[in-house]
Amino acid sequence: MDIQNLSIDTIRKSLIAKKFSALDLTKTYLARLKKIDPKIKAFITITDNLALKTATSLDQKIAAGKKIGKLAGSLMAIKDNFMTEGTRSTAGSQVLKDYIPPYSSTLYNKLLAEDSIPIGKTNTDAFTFGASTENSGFFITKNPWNLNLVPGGSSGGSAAALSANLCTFALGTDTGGSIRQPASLCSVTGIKPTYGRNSRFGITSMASSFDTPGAFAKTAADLALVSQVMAGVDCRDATSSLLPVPDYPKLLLQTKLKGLKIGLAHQYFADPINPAVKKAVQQSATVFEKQGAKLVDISLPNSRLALAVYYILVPCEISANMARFDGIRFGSSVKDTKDLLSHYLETRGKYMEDELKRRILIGTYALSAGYFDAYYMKAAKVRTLIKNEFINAYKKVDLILAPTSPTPAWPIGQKVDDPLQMYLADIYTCPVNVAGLPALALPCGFTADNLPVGFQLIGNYWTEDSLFSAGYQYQQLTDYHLSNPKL
Amino acid sequence: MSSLDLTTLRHTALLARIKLNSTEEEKFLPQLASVLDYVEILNQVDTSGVPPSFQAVSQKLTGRLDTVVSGLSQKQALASAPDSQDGYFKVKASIKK
Repeated sequence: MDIQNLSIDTIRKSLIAKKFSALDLTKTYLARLKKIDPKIKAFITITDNLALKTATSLDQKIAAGKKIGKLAGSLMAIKDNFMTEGTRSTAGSQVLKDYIPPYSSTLYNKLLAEDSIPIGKTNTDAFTFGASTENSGFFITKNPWNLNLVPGGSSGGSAAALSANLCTFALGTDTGGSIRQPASLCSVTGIKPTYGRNSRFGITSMASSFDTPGAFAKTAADLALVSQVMAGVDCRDATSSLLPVPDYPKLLLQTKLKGLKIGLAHQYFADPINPAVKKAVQQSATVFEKQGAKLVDISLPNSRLALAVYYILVPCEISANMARFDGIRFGSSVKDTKDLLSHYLETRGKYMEDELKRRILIGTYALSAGYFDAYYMKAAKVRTLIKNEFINAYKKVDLILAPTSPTPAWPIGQKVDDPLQMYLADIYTCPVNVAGLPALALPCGFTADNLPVGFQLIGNYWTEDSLFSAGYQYQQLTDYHLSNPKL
Repeated sequence: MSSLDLTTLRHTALLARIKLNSTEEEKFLPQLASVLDYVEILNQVDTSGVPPSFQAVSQKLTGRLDTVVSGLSQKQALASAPDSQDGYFKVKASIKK
């Protein structure tokens, strides 16, 4: 059975037509995973027993003639910051290296309810703090297109697993670009929905006003299916939206490319962009133009401030959220300290990875007495300016097209000692998180060295349906998303 | 504005409840200073009269129905605790006798 580029719809229909069983399919994926994953190291935990058990009960359901879920038989890779009841959930950190949660995240439960099959938990920068997956407390994940390069991050394990065809779709979180950037570096499709579209319940918190769970798939059509299951209000997340969820898979042709106004902001095509990336992204705009879309020059000068806003507000929120990791109720803990204060200091000092410490320290500093107005309040005001600039742009255009990463994947080790250089990898993605907008990352070409390049379509608030529709039509006209790495 | 020196770093680390060794202090000090220097560009922006945004999207918070639902049992809640006794989380004494 060839599982490369097998779509969610094909799997479901094949199960119903009894072309193969869910158990056979799962065994095929697991065999491939065990052969390929030692090369790329995308998974922290492989849930083979759980996968086989879930597949068997799905087959029983089919045999009994019962209705099967929308994602029936699709193999799901789960970023390890999603809590999965009874299965170790580490968030990629030594702080939670042995943590088995007593509950599951809402999104994981929703996807299981539609009969998807969990194949494993994927690597991430510890607590998702990073842009290359090198900050993982476990090991480094490699880019399936070139094993000497990073897969991007923080959801690098999920992007690499999908790119290598070790799952049908994968879950990620995008706080500053952590879905879109690895999607582009690994040549898969990824969605960062509008903030509040998907529930955050049961996912480790990084920066609560930025964190956006989303997914990766091989195509915009598959992603529309998965996203429709994920989206919607959750009484356990007060910031999840009550707005109704459109039927994304049914709306894949609703956006008419003819006359569609696509904004291109010159600030997103300037230094530090790599020339090959610039060329491929500009060509993707031409694909839309040939179908009658109108390319409109827009200006987003405040976007250049987004990274600075991000690296104040996000560490501030991190410093508050990470306070819970004290090694008392759960998590790794240093024994035999002399008093409670030493327990906190030594436990956090010993188990937290460098990037956790750096960001907690920046946040603590920026929020400390005397600095609050200068850093936090100032950044929160500039955040308003960035949001307003996007809101005004959408009075003139329907979508904005931009690169996701200024460069293709870079060598492992190149940026790890220079956090600021690593932060700059998110320069085109983080403005979207600052504003809370939705964005879809799509593959759009390869460099001369055969490294994937991607772009993002940034939509107005709650317009995921238009993004999937435009992305679907783009993928009917191009075949970059169908290429697979040689492994 | 950035005034990160070793004394400030040590004070911040204590506030953050993180013990740093001397190697970490040496490594983090220039790294954190370069980030704090970078964010200085915000001071060039005139934000007078601009309201702050503490959330990404302005919307009403979602509530839940006021019904009783079961939560974690005491056993489940304590299952991951490194140390517990008589159904409680156990910590070092924080008050001196």
